[in-house]
Formats: sequence, structure tokens, C-alpha cells
Amino acid sequence: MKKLIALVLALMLVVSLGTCAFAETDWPNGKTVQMIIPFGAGGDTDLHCRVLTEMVAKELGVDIVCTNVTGTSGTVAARQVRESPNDGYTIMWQQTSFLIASLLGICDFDYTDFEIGCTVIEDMSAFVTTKANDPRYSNFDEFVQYAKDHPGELLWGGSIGGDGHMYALMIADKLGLEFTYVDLDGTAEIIPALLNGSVDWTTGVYGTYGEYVKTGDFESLCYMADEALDGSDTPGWKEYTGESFPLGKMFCYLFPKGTDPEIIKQFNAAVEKCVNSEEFKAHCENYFITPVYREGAEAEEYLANYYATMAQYRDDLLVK
Amino acid sequence: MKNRSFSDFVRRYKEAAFALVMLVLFSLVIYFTKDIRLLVINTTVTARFWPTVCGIAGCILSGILFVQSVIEGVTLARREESGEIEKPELGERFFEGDRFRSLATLLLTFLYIAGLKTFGFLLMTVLYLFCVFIMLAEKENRKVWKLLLIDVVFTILVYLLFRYVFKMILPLGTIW
Amino acid sequence: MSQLIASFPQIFTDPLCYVLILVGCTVGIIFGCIPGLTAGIAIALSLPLTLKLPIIPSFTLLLSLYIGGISGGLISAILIKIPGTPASVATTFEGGPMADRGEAWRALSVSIIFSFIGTLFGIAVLCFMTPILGRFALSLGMHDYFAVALFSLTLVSALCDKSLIKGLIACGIGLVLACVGSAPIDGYTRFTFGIHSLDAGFSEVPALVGLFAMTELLNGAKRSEAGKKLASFRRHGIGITGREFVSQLPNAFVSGTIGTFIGILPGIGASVCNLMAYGVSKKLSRYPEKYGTGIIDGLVASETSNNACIGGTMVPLLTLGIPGDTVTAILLGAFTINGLNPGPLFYQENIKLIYIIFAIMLVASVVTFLIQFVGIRGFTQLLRVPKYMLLPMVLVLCIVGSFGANNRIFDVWTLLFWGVLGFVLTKFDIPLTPIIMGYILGPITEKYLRRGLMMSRNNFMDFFNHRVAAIFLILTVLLVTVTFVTQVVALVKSSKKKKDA
Repeated sequence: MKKLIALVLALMLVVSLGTCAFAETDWPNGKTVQMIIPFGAGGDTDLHCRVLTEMVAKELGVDIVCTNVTGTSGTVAARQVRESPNDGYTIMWQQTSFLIASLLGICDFDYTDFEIGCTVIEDMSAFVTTKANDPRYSNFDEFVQYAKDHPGELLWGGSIGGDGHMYALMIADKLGLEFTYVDLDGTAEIIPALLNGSVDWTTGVYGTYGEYVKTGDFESLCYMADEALDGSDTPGWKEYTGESFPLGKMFCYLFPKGTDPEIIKQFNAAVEKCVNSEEFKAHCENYFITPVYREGAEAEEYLANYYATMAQYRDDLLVK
Repeated sequence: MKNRSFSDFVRRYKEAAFALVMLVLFSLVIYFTKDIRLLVINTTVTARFWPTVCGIAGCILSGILFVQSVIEGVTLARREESGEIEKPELGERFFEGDRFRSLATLLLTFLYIAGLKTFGFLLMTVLYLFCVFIMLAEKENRKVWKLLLIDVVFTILVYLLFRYVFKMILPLGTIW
Repeated sequence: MSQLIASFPQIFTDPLCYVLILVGCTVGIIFGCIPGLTAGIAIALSLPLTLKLPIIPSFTLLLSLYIGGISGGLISAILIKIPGTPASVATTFEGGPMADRGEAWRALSVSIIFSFIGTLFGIAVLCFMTPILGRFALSLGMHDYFAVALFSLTLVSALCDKSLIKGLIACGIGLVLACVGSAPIDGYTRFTFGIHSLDAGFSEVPALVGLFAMTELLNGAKRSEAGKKLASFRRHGIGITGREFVSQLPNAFVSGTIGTFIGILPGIGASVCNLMAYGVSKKLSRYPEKYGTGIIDGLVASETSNNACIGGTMVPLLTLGIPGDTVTAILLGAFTINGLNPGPLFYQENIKLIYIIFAIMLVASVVTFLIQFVGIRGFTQLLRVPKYMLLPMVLVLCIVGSFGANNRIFDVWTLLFWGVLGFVLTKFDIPLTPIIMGYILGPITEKYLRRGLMMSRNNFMDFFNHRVAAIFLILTVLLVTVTFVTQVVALVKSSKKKKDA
């Protein structure tokens, strides 16, 4: 009996020590890296991260486990990562919504409280989406005119405080329009609401809403990209206004403050290789997003500009 | 005899006291709605509306329960004092009773969770389960080695299953 | 139908699919029956694997996990009175008392049979009515969701046995606790008092598990209880006679319909529909007073509805490409990662794939049924483990599950907090289920009320312009009135009796 217990205890010791017996010398050193995804499994934030991170893991030859930590526009994950040890074994995937949340003061810190790894994806595939065959307008000119004549009448539907809301505010501001904003959560609520006429328009992304344009259920009035994504004669934002749309959705990797720059450099090198690979490009094409790799000072400047552009609309985000 | 009348009082009016506490808590909910920051302000139904409704409903209900249980308590007291119904026996002493074991279990669970991050899943679980087993088992069942064996085997099985089969991350602890 | 039959060979020619179905259902059942782990967690954990698999094997695994996970919850609900998943809370109401009486075998058997029937019901609806239901799903909006949520909330009165007031207070506690965290729509936090761990509120599963498992452990610490083995049991064979089975069919039909309907509404899901079906079944029953004492009607209602819900949640996914919950969101991700963009034409264009999916679901539900039925003998062995060992072990599993879902030690504290809350409240005879009901339904009700009002430009009367919303609002008013009147009548009667005495 006693022998058995001794055996069991020994086994327990071996098992527990086996996983963390290696001393911390060189990152990643065979240890598991935790990748925190701030949104739920299955969404675009989750999928892009999982696809890219898996390629990076292969490149680095380490085991990276993706974990979804959801809640409150990605701020719950951000807070958790901020308090995590900065040993390089916790990395966070983040996107635009977190920047907007810190802009609104939903959390009391922002992206500068992290070490910036690199920014990797830009999503410019949003477009002004309306139900097809609306008698009030059939193209963007008429839509703009209608909105001008009936300030506040057109209902925009989407996530309040999300990136789509930000685009809608920018459109309203640049064209001098006034809309009423209605909170809806994700495609599950937006698509039916648009189809049954509960809301008038949204800023949908092409990967999802494009399917409905193809079937003629929805109509694309204007693309936020410089020109039409589907090759039609629908105007792109640049064609319509003469300048590029201020920003699209951005995805990046962030590390806890104080993470060793060497580790970040090593990680970044792998990411750069993967972002520019054909395999990742094919994935991006599938979702109408663009792989753009930025690191170091370039990434910092990009994020600073990005944040400043959105900051102009801080007061507009309040739904009055 | 002072003790006796106190325990009678507690028995008769504990529900009323509970209702009173709930009344206070629900009122606090209503009070603290003032601190809620608002993003959507173009409507009467803001982020403050729902907690206020819940708070008010809670206050009304606890108010009704309070009145109900005070009436019940008074009636019970009258009937017991007049000898119409018999007073129940006094409960057991605290340190020998079930209440003590419940509290001790709770304390152990608290320590277990608190130690998870530092001492890790394996050590803490073995310790925790062993302590709870020993405490809850009746004297004739307190076979230390048997309980320890079950405890250790169970812990290791759970660890292996979750860590290596389901690939879940368990708290490993910083001490190891 | 012929298409469905034609798609079976597609799964059976691939030996990988055999393995995946078997593994998926087994792991699903394990995740379902361990409190704190859910089908959603099982599916999220399988993501690294499924994203690499081709689409048919990937769906085989995902759907088997889903079906196994929802079914598995009944095992712990009956044997240890702790619901394995939020979807099987109502199963404990009848399963617990039955197990205490030594009818665990019968309870398990009935639940397994009807959870199988529920899944089949959902799949049948899915096979034959998906296009129609898809159009129906499209016509629903925020107003309708609000009305359904409000109606479910009023069903809480069916779950308060002894004192309606205490039940409602419990519900109020649940509602208020659900307000903690970030407010819907605004996103700013409420009632967190500067504790940032509370920013996202209490996680649902740890809260539920704490409320039931922790309370059970603390109460189990009683000397009189601890040494006891849970209950002895009699073997029953199949556990249900033909006549009983037939007499339960109308109940199963109603519950299955509720399950499928709730499943179609995004964001409400199986955690609500089992309670709703239980409530409706009790209200419609000829002997509502027997509910809660351990009768099979409640088991049938709960288990049929939560499994029928699976079919319902697939409707908007397959017809419109819109996910209603975590699980369907992951399924949608599996589509898109394979280059299929679900949209309005998805159903017509991929009809072959869709029938393969139906076939997978059918096989997975049969396999889940068989595994569970064969396993009854094994499950009931749990009852031989004395309580003082079983309950702490279950609690350890709960803690692992609560931690593993989000990797947050705070979720384990949530479990403890809710456990203490439950323990204290049971000392005052406050029922626990209404707390969970308020906790699950509160945020949904608030969110859809506010969204509906935003859409209607703050005009509440507009809710009555929506058909489904109007029906459910009227039902709500009726239910509240009836409950109120019965309470007053009972009060008058009892006070008269007192006077007469």
C-alpha cells in the first residue's frame, strides 16, 4: 500500500515538474505561448488570429494556444493581458474596437499601455449597405440627398461604439449628414433588421454582406475603399469625395508593457514572413482584407494617427 | 434563560430581518444607479432604467415579505407564549454542529482557490480534497491512507485528462 | 427525404468520420455532464483541429460535440442535482427527487429517450421546414425578442413552489446581479465599484455552477447527510411503459416546439428554453401541484426542449448564414474558413452539403443516445460513491471547468461567491432557480427593450405593431393577471379559514 502511494506521489511529481522543469533562458524555449483573442470564437477577429497565429507558431516552432477572453469591446482581455507577466508568453491580438473603447473611457488605459508588436491587417471592405430597391434612393447621390432633406430620419443599425459606428459617424461628418443610430449586435441582428426594413442602412463588410449584394437583397451604395470591390460602377469613397476614407478596421499584436524587445523582435520576424506569404494572402483575399505589415516606429506612428483620427469623433459617439 | 429568549427571537424574526436586509440592498441598487455613465442619452430608457425597475420591484417585494413575516412572527410568539404550540428544542452547540462543518468547508474552499495561482492545481487539489474528505467523513470511514490514495489518483487523472487530452490550461502555480 | 438518404454514404465511406462521431459524442457527453464545462467550451477547444480538417469531417466533429454536450447535462442533473450545463437546469427539479426516491435509473432512461426524441424533432423540423422557418426568422426583430424574453421572465412564477413572494425576490436578486458589469449598448460598467474583474460581469456558467454545486457541497457537510450514499436505486430496464410514453407525447410535442422556436431566435438559446418549457408544461398540466415532486413530465419537457433547440439554432445559420450563439458562430467560422460564404443563397446552392449536415446530426444523435443508454449502468455507479467524497470531487471539476473556459481565476471566485450566496439564501428558504432565471433573462430583456425602443424612436406602443411581440405581450399580461388573481383568491380563502377556526 505504502509503496503504491509513494509511486503515485512520484508520478505526480514527474508530471508536474515535467511541464515546467526548463529554466527560463531563451524565449520561446519549447514553452507554450498563450495568445489571447479578445472576441468570441468563430468571428472574424478570432478566425484571422487563429489562421495567422498558427502559421507564426509553425514558423517559430513553438506551441501557441489561442484563448478567447471575451467581454466589453475587448477591454476585458486587454486588462487581463496588461496584468500578465511580461515574459513573452502572453501575447494579445487586438483590433479597432479596443481603441474606440479606450477613447470612450470604457477602460482607463489604451494601446500605449502595451508594447506594440506589429500591425498586420487592414480591412477596408466596409460599404454603405441598404436594402435593395428602396423607392427613396437608388444610388449614393440620392441617398445623400435624401439624408440631407430628412435629417435624422434614416436609421443606421449596428454595434454602438464599434468600428461600423465609427465609419458611419465619419460618413455623416464628411458629407454633413445626420442619422439616427440604433444598436444592433452582429450580423445575426443586423441582416434581418435591414431585410425587414427596421433599419435603413448599415456599414457592412464585404466578406459577409457582399453575398447579399450578389443575390440582389442588399444594395451597395458606396464603398469605403478607394474603388468598388466588386468591379461594378458603384462609387468608391475616393471616387465620390476625392480623398481616401480616413480608416478601416485594423488588427495588431500587443505585448504586456516591459516585454523584452528581443522577444518582440523574434516574434515580429516570424509574423512578417507569414503576413507576406502566399498562403496568408489567399486567406485575406477570401475575406476582402489586406495584409499590411508594420513594426517598430512605423507601427507606433500608424497607431497614433489612427487613434487621433478617431479621437475627433469622440463626442459624436454619444447617442443624443 | 436569557439565551433561550434570544434564540426564540432569532427563530421568529430571522425572516423579517432577511426581508429588511433585502429592502436595504434593493434600495442601494436604486441609489447607485446615479453613478452609471451613459452613452445613449436620447431616451428615458437608458442604462439606468432597468436596474431602477429591478430595484423598485425588489423593494416592493421585500417590503411585502417584511410585513408578512413580522405578522407571522408576532402570531407565532403569541401562540407559543400562551402555550398553544410547543417551542422547539434548542439546536446543537455551534462547534459540534453542521453549521461549523459548512463554514469549515467554505473556508477550505476559499483557501484552495486563493492558493491555486501560487501553489498550482496539483498540490492544492490534493491538499484540499484530503482535508475535506477527512472533515466530512464519519469516524468509521476515516481511513487516512485509502482517502489519500483516492485523492491523489483522482487529482492526477483530472490533471492528465484536462491538460493533455482536452488541452486546457490549468493553473500551474509559480512556486514549482 | 431521398436526398437525406443519399447523403449517408458520404459520411460512412470515410472511416475518419466514424472515429470523429464516436469521439465527438463521447467528449461532448463528458463536457456536458461535468458542471462548468459546456458544449460551447468543447467546441472552442476543438477549433485548432477542426480548422485544419476538410469540411465534412470538421462538421462531423463539431456537431457531435454539440449534440453530445447538450444531452450530457442530464446525467449530473439527475444523479447529483447539479445541472451539467445551463441547458439542463429544469431537469434537476424532477430528476433530483426521483433519484432520492431510488428512481435514478428510470429518470435517466426517460431523459435520455426524450432528449433523443427532442433532437430528432429538431432535425425533422430542420429538414422539412428550414426555408419557411428561415423566412419566419427574418420577420422577427428586437421587439419580438423582447416580448419573448419578458414572457419567459413571467414564467418564473411557475418555478416558485412554496412562496411566490420569495420566488420573485430570488428572481429580483438574479436580475440585479445580472446588471453588474458593462451595460448593454452603452458599454460603460455598472455596479462594479471599481473592481475591474467585474467589468464583464459574473460569467454565467461559474455563477450557475456555484449556485448549485457549491450550495450542495456546503449543505452536504451536514453530518446526517455526508456519510450517506446519495440514494440506492432500482433497475428498471427501459424505465417507461408504452402507455406512459404515449401519454407524454403531447407534452414532448409542445416542449419540442418551444425548444425549436427559442432556438431560432438568436441570443436566447437552450439555457432559457428548458426553463420555459418546464414552466409551460407545468401551467398546462392537469396536475401542476405534482411538479417538483419527481414526475417524468418535467423531465420530458426540459430534455425534449433543450435538444430540440439544436435544430432551431441551425435554421438561421443555414438559411441566412447568421449565428445565434457561440456554437453556431464557430460553425459559421468553419464554413467561411473553407471558402463557403453563407448567405441567402447558401441553402439552395449547397443543398448537398446541407443534407450531409442533417445526416451527420441524425447519426450523432443516435450515437449519443446509444452511448448514454448503454452508459446508464455506469452512471448510476456514481451513486455508490459516498457524498463526502463525491461532492468535493465534483467541486474540483467545477473549478477546473470555470477556470478553463476563460482562463480567469476570477471566474473561480465567482463560483465561490455564488455558492455562498446560494447557501445563505437556502437558509431563508429562498428558491435558487428563479435567481438563475432572472440572471439569464434579465440582460436579454433589457437589451432588446432598449434596442426595440431605439428602433421605434422611443414609442413603446410600437411593440404592438409587431405580430409576434403583440401575441407574447398579451400572453404576458394574461399570465400575470391569472397568477395575481389566484394568489389573491388563495389569500382570501386562507384568511377566511383562519377566522372560521
